[in-house]
Amino acid sequence: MMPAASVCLILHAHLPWVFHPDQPHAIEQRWLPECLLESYLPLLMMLEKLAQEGVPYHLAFSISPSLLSMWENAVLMDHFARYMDNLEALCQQEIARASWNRQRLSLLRDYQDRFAAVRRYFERYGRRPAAALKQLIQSGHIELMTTSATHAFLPLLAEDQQAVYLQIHAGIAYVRRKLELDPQGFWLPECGYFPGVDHFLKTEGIRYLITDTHGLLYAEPRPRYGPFAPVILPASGIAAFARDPNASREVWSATEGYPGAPFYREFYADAADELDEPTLRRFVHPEGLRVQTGLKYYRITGQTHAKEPYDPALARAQAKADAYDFVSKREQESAFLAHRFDRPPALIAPFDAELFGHWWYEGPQWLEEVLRLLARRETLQASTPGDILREQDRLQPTFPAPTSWGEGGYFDLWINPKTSWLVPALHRASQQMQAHQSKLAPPLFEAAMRELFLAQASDWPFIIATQSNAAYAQKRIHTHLDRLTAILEGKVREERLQQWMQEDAVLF
Amino acid sequence: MFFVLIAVIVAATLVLLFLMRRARTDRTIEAARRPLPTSTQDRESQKQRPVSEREPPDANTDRAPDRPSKTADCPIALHALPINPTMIYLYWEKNKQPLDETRLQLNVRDADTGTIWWSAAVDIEGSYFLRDLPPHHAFQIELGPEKGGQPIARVQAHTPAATPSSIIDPDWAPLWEEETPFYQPYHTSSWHIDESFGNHA
Repeated sequence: MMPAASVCLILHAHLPWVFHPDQPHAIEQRWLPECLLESYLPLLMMLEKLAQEGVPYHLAFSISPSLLSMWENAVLMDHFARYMDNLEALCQQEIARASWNRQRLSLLRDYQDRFAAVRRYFERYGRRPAAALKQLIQSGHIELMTTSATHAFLPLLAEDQQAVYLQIHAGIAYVRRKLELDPQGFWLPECGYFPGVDHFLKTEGIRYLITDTHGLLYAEPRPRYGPFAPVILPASGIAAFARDPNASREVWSATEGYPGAPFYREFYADAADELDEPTLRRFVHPEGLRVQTGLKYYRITGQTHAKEPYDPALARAQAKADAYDFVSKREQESAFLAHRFDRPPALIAPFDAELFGHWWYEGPQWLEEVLRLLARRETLQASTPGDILREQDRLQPTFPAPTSWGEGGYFDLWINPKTSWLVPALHRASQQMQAHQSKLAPPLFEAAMRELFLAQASDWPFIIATQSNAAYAQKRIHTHLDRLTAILEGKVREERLQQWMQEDAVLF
Repeated sequence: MFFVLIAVIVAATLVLLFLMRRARTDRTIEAARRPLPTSTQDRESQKQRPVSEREPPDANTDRAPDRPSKTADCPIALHALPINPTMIYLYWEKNKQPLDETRLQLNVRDADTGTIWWSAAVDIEGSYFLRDLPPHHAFQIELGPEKGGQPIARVQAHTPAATPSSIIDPDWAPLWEEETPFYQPYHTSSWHIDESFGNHA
């Protein structure tokens, strides 16, 4: 009998570096606490609980160096603690307001318990989520992956190989130093693969990378197993995996995906919409902006404005049903493939960690149930790309095609008429850096590298292209490039430099 | 005495922390300054591939035959980034070397046949999106004097594949034959997702 097929769940956690000490209420500064509260900490708690219960699982977790830098920044973690203080106080006030509504009261008590549990967990690890992650890696439940220093979209830098190399080298070195562990795999930011990028991963001790489905599907020569087995890149010896299109679609798709089910919590209907002005100013935003509070009372219900109240028990049942559906479909898929293949198929399912909890509130429950079900199935096993490489000693040599995930499946979302000005601008900045670096003393070099890295983040062209917060993204790029120029030209005073070093304290 | 001892310990710790931090920065500086990693084996394996499929040369390769624009002595730096199977983004800018021309001629040739695919007179610095190109195809892009003559800068680029390859490795005959149409996405990245979930009206 053929060994069980591998289901590789990969969580990729990334946020761009955002730290504005002089603007404590900047909306962008809420991204980190929102994701800590709803995604990162609940996911780590859930994984720790499974480990303590002895559920056999193994999954890959990729953390971006910029997110790890934020996790390791004491000021930002204190900011998160204050965010929690406010939220807990708001929750308490909402409990008083909802005394007439038993269903809402029960939901608010649920929130209260949840916030308290997250707070305890956060404090237990000394306000260091990285310590919790490290423990799970060391206990053998998580395989560590990482990505480029500031999540630069590497195909955008492809014309400047020094920039590609430094993004990869600095990112891996930082994660290695902070966690004192070697990442096994490399998450290509936005799955952006271009021929030759593997060359730089080899020198950093990386064993594998992940491309989108068509990266392998369109590889040359044609891969024997399509996207369902790793291949080896002949030039570097790095293995490449591709994501399973079916497993991804079932979770990601806005139309067919699980997160759109009517019983799940509605992301867009937030308590902020109902709060009076003084409460809003006191607990949410001093300028009275109706930003998301994290307290949400309604379920998706359907394509309607009339939303039904959210019921956590119904949502939990839905998450269980969806997890069962997901695992059953993987079982069918692997049976279909195993019938044709001469080796167990590898079903690679990578997701953004922020999907679980932040965007899809019940995501961590779904994932927990998937891991529990996989542990009980004989034909499937929850494993990691590293496990597969240990089991499959002979891989097909082939060259993947350049691809990324995101709209269009290639590089359009990051290099398009709205963002193309960025390509030569970043290229010039990198060349400027290379020309000056031998003259820079270590503190100035460090400051200059940070500015260059921050300008290269993939988040900015994405935000500009999707027009979600284009002004902020453009401002960030220009700020970092201007600061870089000022540092390289020696036109920055000591106190200003210190301010930038604090504000842009990513890596190093 | 006790306080002096404490002060000495604190001072020694601070010096140690400073030296550790300095050593970290020094390692990054060293990485930034040393030549890019290369390997003869990598280059040899590259040579076995068709020209159109070769990876870009290392930045520390002094001169790549199809990429004269990379060299510092070229007055124009010409760059080509494939965007998708039908599109390439070009940009070019002046290097420090003097250049007599005020306008340039941009020619895009089919790398296999040499026939001109597209051409236009362009400014000395600029960018262009080449569209409607055939997938998985190599192009030679040249910038030369508007009035004609030898190209000043030349670069080769090839569009990504949009269909499974017809090249088969006999040792690895395909077991998975599903033909996938031109890729259609179902995911637009991470935490920026807007209106993807929730079916909010």
